[in-house]
Amino acid sequence: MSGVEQKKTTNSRMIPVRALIFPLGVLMLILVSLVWLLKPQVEGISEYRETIKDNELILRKLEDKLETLENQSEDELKSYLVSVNRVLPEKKPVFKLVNALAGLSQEVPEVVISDYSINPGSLASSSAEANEKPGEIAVMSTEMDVSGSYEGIMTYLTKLRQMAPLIGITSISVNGELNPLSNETQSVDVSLMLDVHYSLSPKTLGKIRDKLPEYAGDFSETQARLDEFQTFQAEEFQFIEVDQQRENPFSF
Amino acid sequence: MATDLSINLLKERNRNTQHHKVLLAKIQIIAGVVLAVYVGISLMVIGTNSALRIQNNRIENKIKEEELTISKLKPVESMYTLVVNKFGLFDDANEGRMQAEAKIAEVVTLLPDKTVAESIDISATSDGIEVRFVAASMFQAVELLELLEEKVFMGEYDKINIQSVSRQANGEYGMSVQLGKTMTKEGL
Repeated sequence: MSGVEQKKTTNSRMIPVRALIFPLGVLMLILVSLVWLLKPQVEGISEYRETIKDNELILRKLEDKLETLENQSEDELKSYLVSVNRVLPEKKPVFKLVNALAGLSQEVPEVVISDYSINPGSLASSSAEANEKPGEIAVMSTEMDVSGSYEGIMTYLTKLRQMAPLIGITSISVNGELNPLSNETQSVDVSLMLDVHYSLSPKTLGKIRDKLPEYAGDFSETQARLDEFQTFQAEEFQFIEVDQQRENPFSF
Repeated sequence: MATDLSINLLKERNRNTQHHKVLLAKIQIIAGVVLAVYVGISLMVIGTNSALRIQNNRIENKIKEEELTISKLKPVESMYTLVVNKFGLFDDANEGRMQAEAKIAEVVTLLPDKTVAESIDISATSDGIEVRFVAASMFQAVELLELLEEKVFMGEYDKINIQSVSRQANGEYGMSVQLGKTMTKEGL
């Protein structure tokens, strides 16, 4: 083979540059678009997936919340609030308590309140609320001495438990014999320490996306128990005179 | 002889040229296929992205709608929250009240049995019950203690701690007794 022929054969085996334009163009296009187009798109997909997952969760919670709220009857809620606020008032129920205890003594005439003392401290001031946390139960202590027959005392204690505001008997002191078989006229002196419960409402009610609080107990059972509480609304006890000069104006 | 050689060389050259053309065509085809596949994948990715964006927008719009509806129900939400909060507080307070009274009532039931003390004072504490009494004599005090022990051991309390015993000037005895409950594993 001559040198000229050999060169021609070699040239014919080389790939012409114009034939490489398309594959190289494709390669460049792929590389450039991978960086500038596809990568952001793929990242966007994973971000959207996360966002959609979160948003679906938010939406489900909102739908549940809305369903719960739409199923509530405003009138029913108002009546629940009236009954629960009657039993568990928002502020120290000083005058309500005085009226209620006085009313109770009228209901059980065989029992006489010989001494009654309540020391409510400051009322309706920032210092009064300093120790009271919104959304929690606060207690106001009261002392009272009553005297009467065994039957009368027992009736009085039973009625005291059914009275609004919510009162708990924490201590009983009995002087003398408390005997069911004793003569009805035999009087027994009993000193009681009472805890009167009240509670401030929570100040913040949460954001729109916050979950609604769930009631842990039996709603209807609580409502039924609240309905058992009685309130004494006797008109004559609405205007009890309070001697402002006394150290504790709420003691008899 | 020389002619044969030239013919063979020409044939060889033709074969090489053909082979070369096929190779070039293959490269173009492969590049075309790669481009087509890449474009297809890119369209799929862009389409998926767009679909997800639309879906997300739809959900966000739905969230806004729900939030708007809920904000209109704010008075109901406030009342509902207050009711649930207050009902829970009432249950807690009422349970505490009933526990304290049950503790006291358990000891009060001792009293009608007989007159064993001049005076008796019963208080409910978080630890148990404190009973303070004044007895006319030491025998009366012991009688009351036995009565407490007998009744209490059958009930909720299984511990009696005598906290103080004092003799008063008039000859009466004062005693303070703490009734408690042994903590069980469940209680711990």
